[in-house]
Order: sequence, then C-alpha cells, then structure tokens
Amino acid sequence: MDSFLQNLISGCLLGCIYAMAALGFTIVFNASRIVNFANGEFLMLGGVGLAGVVVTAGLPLWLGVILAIACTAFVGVLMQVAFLNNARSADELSLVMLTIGTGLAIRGAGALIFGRSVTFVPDFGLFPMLLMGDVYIVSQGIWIALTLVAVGIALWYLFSRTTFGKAMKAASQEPRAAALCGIEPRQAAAAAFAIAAGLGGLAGALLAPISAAFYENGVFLGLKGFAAAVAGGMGNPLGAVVGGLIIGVVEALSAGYVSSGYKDGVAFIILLLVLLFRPQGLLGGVSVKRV
Amino acid sequence: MKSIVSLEGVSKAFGGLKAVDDVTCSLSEGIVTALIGPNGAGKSTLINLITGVFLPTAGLVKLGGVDISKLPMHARSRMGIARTYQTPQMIHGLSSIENVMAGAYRFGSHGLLKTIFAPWMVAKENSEIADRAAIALRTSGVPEQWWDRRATELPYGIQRRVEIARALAQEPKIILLDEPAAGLNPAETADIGRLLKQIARGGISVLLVEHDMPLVMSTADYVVVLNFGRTLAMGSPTEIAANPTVIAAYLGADDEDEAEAEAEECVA
Amino acid sequence: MKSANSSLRRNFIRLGLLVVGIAVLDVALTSQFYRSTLTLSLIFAIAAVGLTLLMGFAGQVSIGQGAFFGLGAYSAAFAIQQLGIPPLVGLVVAAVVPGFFGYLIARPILRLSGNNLALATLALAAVFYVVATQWSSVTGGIDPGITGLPALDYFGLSHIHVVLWLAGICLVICTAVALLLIDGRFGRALMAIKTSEVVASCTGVDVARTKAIAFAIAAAYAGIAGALFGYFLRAFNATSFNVGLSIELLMMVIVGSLSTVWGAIFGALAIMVLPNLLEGFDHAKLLVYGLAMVAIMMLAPNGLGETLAKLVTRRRVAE
Ligand SMILES: Nc1ncnc2c1ncn2[C@@H]1O[C@H](COP(=O)(O)OP(=O)(O)OP(=O)(O)O)[C@@H](O)[C@H]1O
Ligand SMILES: [Mg+2]
Repeated sequence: MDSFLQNLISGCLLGCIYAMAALGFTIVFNASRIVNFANGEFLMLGGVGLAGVVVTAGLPLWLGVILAIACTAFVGVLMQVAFLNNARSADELSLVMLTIGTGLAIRGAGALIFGRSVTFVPDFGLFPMLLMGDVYIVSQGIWIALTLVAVGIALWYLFSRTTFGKAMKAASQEPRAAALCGIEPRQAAAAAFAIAAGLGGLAGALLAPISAAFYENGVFLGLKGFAAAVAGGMGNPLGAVVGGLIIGVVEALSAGYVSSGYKDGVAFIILLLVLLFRPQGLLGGVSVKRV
Repeated sequence: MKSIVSLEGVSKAFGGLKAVDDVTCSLSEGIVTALIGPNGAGKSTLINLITGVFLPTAGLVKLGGVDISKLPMHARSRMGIARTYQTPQMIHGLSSIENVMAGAYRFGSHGLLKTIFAPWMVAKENSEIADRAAIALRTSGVPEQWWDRRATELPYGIQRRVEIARALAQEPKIILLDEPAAGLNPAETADIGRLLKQIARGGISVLLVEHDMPLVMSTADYVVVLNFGRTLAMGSPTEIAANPTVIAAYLGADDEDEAEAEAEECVA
Repeated sequence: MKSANSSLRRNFIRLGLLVVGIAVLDVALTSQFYRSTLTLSLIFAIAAVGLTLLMGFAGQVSIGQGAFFGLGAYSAAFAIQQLGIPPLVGLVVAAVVPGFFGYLIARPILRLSGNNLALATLALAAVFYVVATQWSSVTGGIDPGITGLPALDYFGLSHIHVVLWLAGICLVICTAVALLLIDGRFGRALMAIKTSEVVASCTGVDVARTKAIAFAIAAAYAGIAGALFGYFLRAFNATSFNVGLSIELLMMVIVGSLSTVWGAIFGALAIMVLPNLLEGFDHAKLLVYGLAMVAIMMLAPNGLGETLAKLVTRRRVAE
C-alpha cells in the first residue's frame, strides 16, 4: 500500500513536469496552430543550461534558474521569429518539419555548448523532505508541485483576465478579432513561443536535480508532453495539466508494478491509443466545442 | 424513362441545420436534370449524399433500385456514379490525360502484386487506359495540346472539361455536375450545355447543379428546385419558369443578390 | 500516353546508370571507409524510396519508419540465427514481417492526418525503441544486442563487396517496383489521395486500403533496409533504432524531393556522405543537420533535390 502511495506521489511529481511541457505545447498550438515538435528540447535546454551555469560555471543556483528560463525563452522567440514566421510554405507538414529541424538544431547546439555528459544539479533546497508515515516527498518535489500551481494560476490569469491573453488564445481561430484587440497573429505566436519555451526551461531546470541533465533528454520529454496534451484534449490547458498528471501516474505505477524498463513506452502507447480512439482527448467534452 | 438514382425522403442535418430536408426525387436515364436553388439551399450537399461523402440522417438513396445509402464512396463510384466539383479538383502532379486515366481506375487491374510479378504489363495497361482517357477528353472537347500539360496549370475552363472527361472515363450511369459553368464565359457556358446534352443522349443520367439560368433553361429536360433543403418545385423548365413560388424564392426576388454571390464565387 | 511510357523508359535508363555508377564506385573507391559509406547510402536509400512513395505520393507523413527498419533488422537476424534461414531468404522475411505489421497498423493509424499522424507515427517509433531495448530475450537489448551475424562471402568476394552489391541490387529492384507502381494505376490512386480523399474515392479508389498498402510497402522497404544494415554490421543493438533514425529517414526524403524516387536516393546519399566529407564534423553534426533541415524547409519545401533540378532546367530553358 505504501509503495503504491509512494509510486503515486512520484508519478504526480513527474506528471507536473509533463504538465508544464504539455502546457507549452498547448499554448503554442492555441496561438498558432503549430504542433511544436521542438517543445521537448526547451526542457532539455533548461536542464542542461542550468547544469552548465551552476555546476560548470559555478554561478549561484537562483541566477542559474533565471538564466536558464531567459535563455530558453529567447530561443523560443528566435525560433518563431526567424524560422516559422518566414516559412515559405505554411502547410502543416512543412511546419512540422521546421519544428523538427529546429529541435535537432537546439539539441545539437545544447550538446556543442554544454557538452555531452550527464550532469547532476543540486536540488533547490529550502524545503525539508516531507515524511508522512512511510511515504515521503523529496524537497525538489515540493518545488515542482508548487511551481506548477503558481504557473497554473499565472496562466489562468493571463488567458482569462487580461486582454492580451484572451487575444492570444483567439489569435489562431479568429485572427481578425485578435487584431482588433491590437494583437497581430505573429505577435501572439511570438509571445506564445516565449511563454512555452520559458515554461519548458523552468520545467527542465526543476527536473535537473531529480533526473540528471542530458542533451538527449528532449526527445522523450517532448513526446511525453505531447502525450499529455493529446490525452487531455489538444488545445485545452486544463486538459494538459490533467493529461500530464495521468501520464506521470500511469508511468510511475507501471514502473512499480509492471517493469521499470517499459515505463517509457507507456506514455507513447497512451498517446497512440488516445489519438486512435479518442482524438478529442480524455476530457473530450471540454474540447468538442472548439471545432 | 428509366430511373437511375432515386432519393426517398433523404435528409441531412449538420447539428441543428437541416441542409437537405426530406427530399424525394428521381434522376432518369438519358436526360439532363437540373438542380437549382439559392446559395446554401443544399445542392452540393445533395450531390455529396448521392456520392456518399455524407451519409443521410434519414431516407434512402437508391441506384437502379438498389439501396446504396450505406455504401462507401468508392463502392458507389464503381457502381456507376461519377461527379465533378464546385471548384475543379485536379489531381496534383498529373497531366490532364493522367487525371482522366485516374478516372478510369476501375477498368485497371494492376495493383501491387501484379506490378511485382508481371511488371511488363504496366505499360500495356497504361496505354489501354490512356486510350479510354483520350476518348473521354475528345468527347468533352479538351484540345489535344493540353493533354500532356500539368492539369493544375490549365486554364479554368479547360480544367472544368478535364473534370467532365474524368467523370466520363468512369463510364458512369450517372454524372453529377456541381456548377460546371461557374467562372466560364457565355460561349464556354453554351459549349458545356451542348456537351451535357450530348452526354445525356448517350444514355447517361446527368444531374446539373447550376445558378446560370439561361444554361439551365436551354439544357435541362427536367428541373428540381431546392430551397432551405426542401424541394420547392419540380417540372419542365417552362413550368418552373412560370411557377410563382419559384420566382418569389429564387428567380425574381434575389436575382441581384444571386448575381453578386456568383461573382464572388468566381473570384474565390 | 506517349509521354507516360517515355518517362518510364527514361527512368529505367537512369536505373541502368545507377547500376553502372555503383560498379564504377566499387572499383574506384580504394578506401574501405568510403566503400562502407556508399554501402550505407544504398541501404538507407531503399528505406527512403519507400518513404517517398508514402509521403511524396500518398501524402501521408511517417516519422516512424525507424520502427520498421529495426523490425526488419531483427526479423532477418532472428530468421538467420534462430531458424537457420539463409540470409538471402532472410531479406524476404525482413520485407514480409514489417510489411505485414505495417498493413495491420496502417488501417487505424492512417485515419489520422497531418499533425496527428506525425505524432502517432513518432510515438510508434518511440514504442518500438523502448520494446527493442527491453525485450532482451529476442533483441539482446542494448547490451549485447544482436551479435555474430555471418559474414557474407559469396563468389569469393569479401563481405563488404557482397553487401555493397546486395544493397545495390535490392535498391535497383525496389526502385524499379516503385517506379512501376507510380506509373500505373496504383500511383495515380496515390496521387489522387494526396490531392483529396474525396476525389480519390469518387473515382473508385478504396482509400483506406490503398493507403494501407502504401504504408505496408514503405514498411517493407524500411525492413529490407534494416536487414541489410544488420547484415552489413554483423552486430547491432537497439540504440541504432532510436527516434533519431526515423527523423534521419524523413530528412533523406525532404533533402531529396517529395515528388520523385530519385530524390530519395539523392537525399540518402547526401545525408550519408556529406557528414563524412566534412572533417571534424561529428560533434556539430546534429546542429548542422537541424539547421540544414530548417533551411531546406524554409527555402525549398519541396525538397532540395527537386528545387536544384528545377533551377538547372530553368536555366537551360532560359539559355
Ligand atoms: N460539412 C458541413 N458541415 C456543416 N455545414 C455544412 C457542411 N456542408 C454544408 N453545410 C451547410 O449546409 C447548407 C447547404 O450547403 P450546400 O453547400 O449544400 O449549399 P449549395 O446549395 O451547394 O450552395 P451554393 O450554391 O453556395 O454552392 C449550408 O448552410 C452550408 O453551410
Ligand atoms: Mg454548392
């Protein structure tokens, strides 16, 4: 029973990370209809960047986190402004390839700049490890959970309380309405990429103390983020969070009870099954309206 | 006159909108039946119901007395239903003759296994099918100089004819044409009218969806009027032209709107 | 109709030139390293030709070809080592098993399109990779993987010569089949599907079935390539079949051309050969790959090969 609870908790924590990846994916999708296959690389960059700044260069951790987020956000904006905006052909397939290519380039740049070693980052500290009977939550886990809550509130505020956020959300569906609020689709897309990439950088930095930073992490993190976003219903931020938690928990439980080796496959199988049998997502009702 | 396709109480709803509402009519062999009605009346939807793009929410679609309401599109096509589209749909990357050859799909037999085990037959079958395509292209009046050109690069009027040729190459029992004269000049339009009559005389049932009233009046043997998805009237062109409800709903009342809408469509 | 047949003839002349080219290179290349690069190019070209059929002609993306490539490699190795089947017959196994799986998976997966199809096929590649690393009793996992595949030394030729020619012959056969398929009614059906599934269906094409067959062919081609890859190395492990492989295969098609199979062969050659020509390129390989892909998608979304070819012909016309 306790090991079940323990699995559940570690699943939720991992799920928080997936949720942040999924949120980034969702925000970009809503603002520009682009499925950003480079999203996982933002997480990778956050982790590897933090490791580089803190472990290699010896800067303080808080500065490292800020730098990681800022750099990743910058890369995100650059990707949108330099590449996606200037694509000659705007069909879905070309844009998918563009994001894949950018993802490869980010991974390559990450490896080139920060090296190809697996690096551990010290955890953020401050909170003690929480012990409840036999079940515990590591200090970094508390950081992760609180961050997701804070991010969730901030994004909710942005998208439902500010004109800018509302216009951004509508930009891909009703470009004219968004333009009336003074927001060009391109600006909205750039803002979305900045937020998504920054969020990815944050998530990657948060994850680095738990699972080491490595330049190849982006592929699986990205795919799991997609899995979460698709499971929750494409374009639905709440769904992205729920999807992330579901993927995290199922993964942790299957690692605990089935086989730890196959756990990575679980998220992808969920992704496949959802795409095939419930393309509107598990929280389908919410997203049906969007058509 | 033998009925080829008959609709019995066919309806199609999109959410709350009844795009086609309880339509019963019959399309006969050897004549041109015109289907007219204002924009959004449900004409294209009706074609989509006959070809199987949509399944009806109620009612039956019959081909030669056989219920085909639940058959998939390709099965219906192979049974002899061919169509054209409101905006010409040329297959990308193929020349016009190859487009028409694609229409003759059901007359080929070459698939994966035959290609692997009898590769020398590919060229032979291609030339047989190209012969069929050439006949169809000639019938629909596509000048030979266009045959080997990429279909997507052809002038609009030629694309419309290539589309008709592609439908003819299917050797169908019925051809459904969705506004074949839209975007054409009066001379081309008159040509299309003659072509349709000729096709019908060959024993094929022709359904002509059209806004161009002179074309309808000169070509159609029978006219069905749709409005808001319902059949408003049916009869010979002269009867329809004299029908006060039709005039109110369509011919007279929004004649100008109609012309405008049509102009818009041409631009789009 | 005249043009259709003459294009087929032109393509078969090119195929002959390809054979001559391989023979010349086989003699001319003195370094073992360059010969292996050539062999790998030929092997990957087979998978790329299959993917062109699927992506360029039928318009269905797949970022999961690595799965079938791996499946082919494992099935051939299994056939040889566990069932005692000779390597040449192993190639048939390596085509049939992935082809069959491809066909089975295709029906549900190809109901998706665009982004979702890309995602689903990518997930497929990821699932395959996880299974390949974990199912050690069959795949040997990452360590040791598959080892001890036999050296192919038919006709007194050395292993590498044999694999080179085997790959060359397979490529020629697969390309010929692809060309014939494209030229015939199947190819017209694929192109109709790419334009519009409604148009294809309304000319009598069973769209779901035709797409599934195209998917199966692409899978079978990838499988043959995978088997040859295994034969060539004689030992391999699951890391060869990670998601990166699928993306690399995709890149070959994009670098080449989406609208001819020659583009795929060009793309495979470019992707395999270029990195080796640039000395000290290895550590920046990913970055250059990525930027190249971005540049190609931005400037020549129909494929670099095709755009270059167009430039050349346009210049010739202008002169
Ligand atoms: N796929 C669809 N989903 C939802 N509504 C649809 C769909 N197709 C058509 N409609 C609606 O059904 C109604 C009938 O459309 P349809 O295209 O059949 O009209 P039409 O008579 O062909 O008009 P037009 O002369 O403009 O071509 C319209 O109100 C249209 O908006
Ligand atoms: Mg219409």
